[in-house]
Amino acid sequence: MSIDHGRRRILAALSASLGLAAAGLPLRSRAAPGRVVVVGGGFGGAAAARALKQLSPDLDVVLIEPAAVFRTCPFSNLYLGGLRSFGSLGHHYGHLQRRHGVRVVRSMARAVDAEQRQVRLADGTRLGYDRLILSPGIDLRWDALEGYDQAAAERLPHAWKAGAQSRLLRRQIRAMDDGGLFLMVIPDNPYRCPPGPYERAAMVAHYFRQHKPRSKVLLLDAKDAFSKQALFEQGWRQVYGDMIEWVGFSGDGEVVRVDAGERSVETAFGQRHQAAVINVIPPQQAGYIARQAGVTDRSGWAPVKAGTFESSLVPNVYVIGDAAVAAPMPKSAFCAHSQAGVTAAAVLASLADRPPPEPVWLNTCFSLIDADYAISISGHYRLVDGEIRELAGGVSPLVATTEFRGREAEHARNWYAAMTQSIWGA
Amino acid sequence: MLPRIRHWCFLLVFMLLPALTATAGTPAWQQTDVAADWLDGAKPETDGVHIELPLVSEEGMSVPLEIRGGALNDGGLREIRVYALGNPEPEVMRLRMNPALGRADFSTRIRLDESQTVFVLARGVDGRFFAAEQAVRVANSGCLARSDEPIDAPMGAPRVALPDPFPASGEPGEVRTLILHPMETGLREGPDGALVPRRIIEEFSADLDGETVLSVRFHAAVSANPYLAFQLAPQADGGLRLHWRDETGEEREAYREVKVGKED
Repeated sequence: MSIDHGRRRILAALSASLGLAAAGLPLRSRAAPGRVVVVGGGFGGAAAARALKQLSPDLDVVLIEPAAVFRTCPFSNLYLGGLRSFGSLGHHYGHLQRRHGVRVVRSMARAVDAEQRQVRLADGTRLGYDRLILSPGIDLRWDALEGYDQAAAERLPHAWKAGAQSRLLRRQIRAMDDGGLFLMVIPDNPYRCPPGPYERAAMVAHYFRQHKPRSKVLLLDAKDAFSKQALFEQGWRQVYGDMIEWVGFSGDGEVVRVDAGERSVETAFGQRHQAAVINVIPPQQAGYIARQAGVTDRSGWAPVKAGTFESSLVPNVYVIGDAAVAAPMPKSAFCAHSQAGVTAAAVLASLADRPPPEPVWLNTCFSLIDADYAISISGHYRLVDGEIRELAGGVSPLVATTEFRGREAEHARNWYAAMTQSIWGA
Repeated sequence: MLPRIRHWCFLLVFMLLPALTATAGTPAWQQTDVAADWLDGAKPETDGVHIELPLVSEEGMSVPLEIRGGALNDGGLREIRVYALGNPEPEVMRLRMNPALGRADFSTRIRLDESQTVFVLARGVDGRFFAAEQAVRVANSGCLARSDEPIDAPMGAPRVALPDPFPASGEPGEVRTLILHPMETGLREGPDGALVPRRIIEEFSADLDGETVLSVRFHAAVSANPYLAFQLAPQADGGLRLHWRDETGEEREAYREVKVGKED
């Protein structure tokens, strides 16, 4: 396979966005023979597969993903609020396969045999690998919250994996009466997308303002503080008045029991709340294949070597995205994408028997309060004394003009378009 | 010149070696003398008390801590002390308990300044000591950083939850308590740049029918709005009185009826 010059220039720009520029990695490494298997076609896995082929076109890169279409969690709250269509959240793997030379295998990874370096698929096929990248995202913990299991989720949706659950929650919000209560159950850290529940609250309120102005949003939270809290609380008040109420752990916000039949929840100090729609975001853990492969510890998440994201527990297996313990990096789509670039370079270095390049990671998370009102947080991370450290970062200013908030909303839309294009686009 | 440098290097290595070996593999209680007076030369055993904290905490202001000290009916523990050596003040809390609790199991939330090892020491009714420890990596994330807590927040109304009824006579059930209080450490700067004066809840106690069954000493490393869950194993119906007192002398009290389920 060869790459023309124009394309290589674009790749240079792309790899910069993947965090490789500062790493000083040669764009095309010498032919690194071998096969890298990537499990999971989300922001981490799909980006890693693409980066591997861009950096080393002769490498055999296999991406295992059961879904034909990937639905993004980013912007799925906008769908709930009526600002985006469900279709706009979907991205397929055609370009990765046809234009970028990634072999996409539409199947489920069932087991990893680290001794034999093989992945077993749902149909029994065994795929050998030289290096394995797991980017399985999260699984919900069905044993963590009394009364909340898979059957209960059909009545009290989580919608914390975009797809059928998002549509179910949207249908319930549309079907409820004006004046009805929307209640959200929010877990303690760590969980996927720290600001996500609070953006969702704003998006549900956005829908209520237009269609159910007498309805309220009640957030019951297992913690006392949350991401961008001051900005969210200010934005909620400015845009939606007193429509959104947040109750933290110390205000008796921790839900310890749910009753799907009664559509009610009970808190740690015994208060019972009933609501027209209940959105339960339960505690989470690394996706199934990470747990099966033995890369997770008793926390349910995968500890990794900070510089490369190689598993601390199983050699030649790398874990990126929400499944990994990357703190202080949050479990965000941007972080998964940033880790994908750094880890792709580390995998290639490992195959070529070179030391891994110096890593740099970035994060930006936008949260929409209204169609033309967004807030953001950014972080810049490096390796210091063998640990990931946040070196710079910040949030949107608390005092800003409406134009400023509007520009951030525009940035959010551009971010989504650029990010999905750079992973699943042509 | 060169040999002398080498000589110094050797000396340095020798001087550092004991320190290096002491931190690797030595129990945390041996690396400090904060509890030396209490231990008075005793060597704690390792299997009488267990603790659980997150391996990684993304928010050091509120780290869940669970202590499992086992049954109290037959012997068992009488006092537990919690330490966090990486904090400006290493002692976190002391709990004195009575067999009426049934089990020496507790849940609370603590502040950890940085990555460190948290350890507990416990003393049994027979004077034996037990120790348990766990390393916690604190990776404070800007993404989760909380805004400053209000400075003049008064002591609020307590919250209490207990089983209604308790399962059976002498069977333990969980009592949860929480009180709104800033737990100002005295180490934090206010908006004007001056240190916010220290103000913490010092004492918490639980009395069952007039007898103190649990008394707790909180230190500044207990998170704002102190949360404590403990076990209680009442023999019969009665009354539970809970009492909090902070450094300024302000007090709060809560009273709950205790009901014990009747066996069929």
